[in-house]
Amino acid sequence: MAREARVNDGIGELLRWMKDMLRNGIIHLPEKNQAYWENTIRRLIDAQAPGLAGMVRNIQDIAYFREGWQEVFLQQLLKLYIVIQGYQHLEALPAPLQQDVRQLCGFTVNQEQLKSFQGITDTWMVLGKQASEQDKLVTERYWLYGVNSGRSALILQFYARHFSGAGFSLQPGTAVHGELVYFPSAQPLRALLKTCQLTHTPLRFRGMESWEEVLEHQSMLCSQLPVYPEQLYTIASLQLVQYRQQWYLMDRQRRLMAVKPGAPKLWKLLAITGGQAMPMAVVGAGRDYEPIGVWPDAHYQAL
Amino acid sequence: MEHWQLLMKTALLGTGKQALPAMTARDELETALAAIRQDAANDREDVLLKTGAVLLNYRQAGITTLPADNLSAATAAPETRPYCSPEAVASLQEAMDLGSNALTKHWLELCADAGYLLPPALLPLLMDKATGSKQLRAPLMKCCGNRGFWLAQLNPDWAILLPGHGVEISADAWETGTLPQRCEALTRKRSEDPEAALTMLMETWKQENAATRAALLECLQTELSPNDIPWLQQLTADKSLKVKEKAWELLRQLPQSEIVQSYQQLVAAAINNIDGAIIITELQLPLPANIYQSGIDKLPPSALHMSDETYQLQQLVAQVPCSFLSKHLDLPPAACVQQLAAAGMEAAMLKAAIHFKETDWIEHILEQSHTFYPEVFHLASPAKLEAYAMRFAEKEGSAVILRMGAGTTPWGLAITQQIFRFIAMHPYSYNRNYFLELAHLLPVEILHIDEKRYFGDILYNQQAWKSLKEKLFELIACKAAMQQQFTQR
Repeated sequence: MAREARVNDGIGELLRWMKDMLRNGIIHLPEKNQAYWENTIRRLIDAQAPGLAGMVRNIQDIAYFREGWQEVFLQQLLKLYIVIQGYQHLEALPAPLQQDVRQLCGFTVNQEQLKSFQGITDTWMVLGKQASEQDKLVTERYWLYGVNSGRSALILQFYARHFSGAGFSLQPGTAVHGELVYFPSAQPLRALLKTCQLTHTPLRFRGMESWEEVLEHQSMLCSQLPVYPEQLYTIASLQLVQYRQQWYLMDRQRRLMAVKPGAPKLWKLLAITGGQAMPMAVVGAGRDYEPIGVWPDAHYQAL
Repeated sequence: MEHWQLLMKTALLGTGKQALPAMTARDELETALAAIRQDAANDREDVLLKTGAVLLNYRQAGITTLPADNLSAATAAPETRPYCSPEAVASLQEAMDLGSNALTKHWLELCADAGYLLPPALLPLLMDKATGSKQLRAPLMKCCGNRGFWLAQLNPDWAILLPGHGVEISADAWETGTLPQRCEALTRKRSEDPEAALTMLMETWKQENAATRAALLECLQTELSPNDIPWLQQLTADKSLKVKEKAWELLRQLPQSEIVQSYQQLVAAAINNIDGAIIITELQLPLPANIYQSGIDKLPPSALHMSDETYQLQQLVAQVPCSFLSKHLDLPPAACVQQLAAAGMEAAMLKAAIHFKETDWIEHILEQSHTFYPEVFHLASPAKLEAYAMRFAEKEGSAVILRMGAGTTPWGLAITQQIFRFIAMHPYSYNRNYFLELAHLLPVEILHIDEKRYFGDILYNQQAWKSLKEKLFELIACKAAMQQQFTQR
């Protein structure tokens, strides 16, 4: 219980800091020095709430020199506020959502215990891999899609560069057969593979028809989990197009969804598709999405 | 959404200055917003945060897409040639992993020659590479297919790969362009219609300053012909020294010009074949003034071991075609070279052969020469040059490698063996990186030759050579694999 109390104290202090910021106006934020953010981050880490510290760090990392930073800032601040409120009213929430809030604050899930639960056995298509690095800590995100279950999953792997190697490696564009257990959540996505064996199953397309279905899913998602992570979607026909000097993905109904700013490998996507509409795998949430692979023919090609 | 804008405005200015104004909405949103407003326990910041949290979720639950209206999406034209095999792609990947642009280029050439296309997924990687490496551009564009051209037109970073990029000369570039643009326009015109280009230059000549004149005159090098002589001759009297020098330089390249004819007369008077023996008569110095004006120098005071007459005669020989000498002396080329070389004129003749692009004569000189001339490499046929290089591979190994490496023709087995012998003796001067950009020239047959055949039983720096050889052979094996992929199919 000691930890919960410390987190509560940390949250109280964070809330005062946020309110203070709003009272003074956020217009001066771009001029704030590093210490302004670092103090709060450090206090949250001391309060054993690394998840919240990470959310503050994301706010710190916003490109304040770019036009429109206010919109991004406000969205992230409000998401942080929702998590705080969730934690402060944890008992009132449904049990699965409680787990989401706890994980967002930084409480870990005992993975050994998780492995003892029964998972979903399926052939999982490895549709994409995203890797990032911060302070020599490498984070790998593998996006999986169940051939029979039709469910998507996110497998995370962390390791310190130069100190330890990756525990496992999944090759995008391949498929594995195995049992997968989801982390407890109101809308399970993050998972771990209990067993995994490479198979030669072809990666056939299966998925949604249009952006409309994606948006329906997102509406359902935020009714269950207001602060939700990026999701994996496979959509039957998307075409990368330029509209008002910005990249969009156009579906069969000629509806446009923005491509995530800075999304890598767009030129590779254009090279493979030649500008034609094709079944595509995308990762994202809200208003922008990043393509991670495409089906130019019967075979999937990861970007 | 007005609510969101209001929220943002209040957050920007600060709730200390102004509280979030009351917002009205419809349906359940109104109920939620009213509940926040009416809760007396909420301070101004609470109201802003809670209202914001509700609005955030309201907004994200109702995201919509944009209509594409009449947007027409650009697509690439279909391909007419087949893509290369996955095995061929693997050999390209290996070349890139090894870091060899030369092998990458070799692969692209093989692919284009075999009539195949590069798989589209690889295009961005190769196009990025080619923007930074000029040598890859032309071969890449030969096997990138319609897809590659389409991408290059779409991506401004790749526009440089499109043929003709950067040489787009507008119609009025000649009149209004910068000096480099005008030079480019004149050179292009010269390639298409030499006479018209000359007229174009003559028409504007009076308006140009000296520096511009010299730069534009240089462009006449393209398609230089006897038709240019009268005007160039006039320019030798120009006020500007630069222009004069450039005009003489061009005239000296034309055997029909008066100055080359004068050189020939002087040479003919000084060198003669009398009963099969070459007799050299000393020049009557000083030579006519125009000869010195045209660029022939007098012996500098610091020169030793040479008379002024010989010095000036050697310069004159270097300015007359070798074919003239052969005709004048009534000797076939081989004998002409042999006898003039014996008379100390070998270097001068070689200069003349290079100057007048007399490839046959270069070869005749190299066949007999005992001197290493690095400047002749790749001015003669590869077989002749290789035979010439073989004679110097041991003594002048590093220069031979350098010059052979600058060529485009694959090395023969014999010269490669000689070069490997040299490297084995100097293993610390060469490493894998040195050969990365020469790998395409190395013959794959060397992989199957027992090194004893070229080293004999002599053991050089064995360990160092073995380590280098392993890396060299890795490059050659990669070349062999790519050749096999494209010749098998």
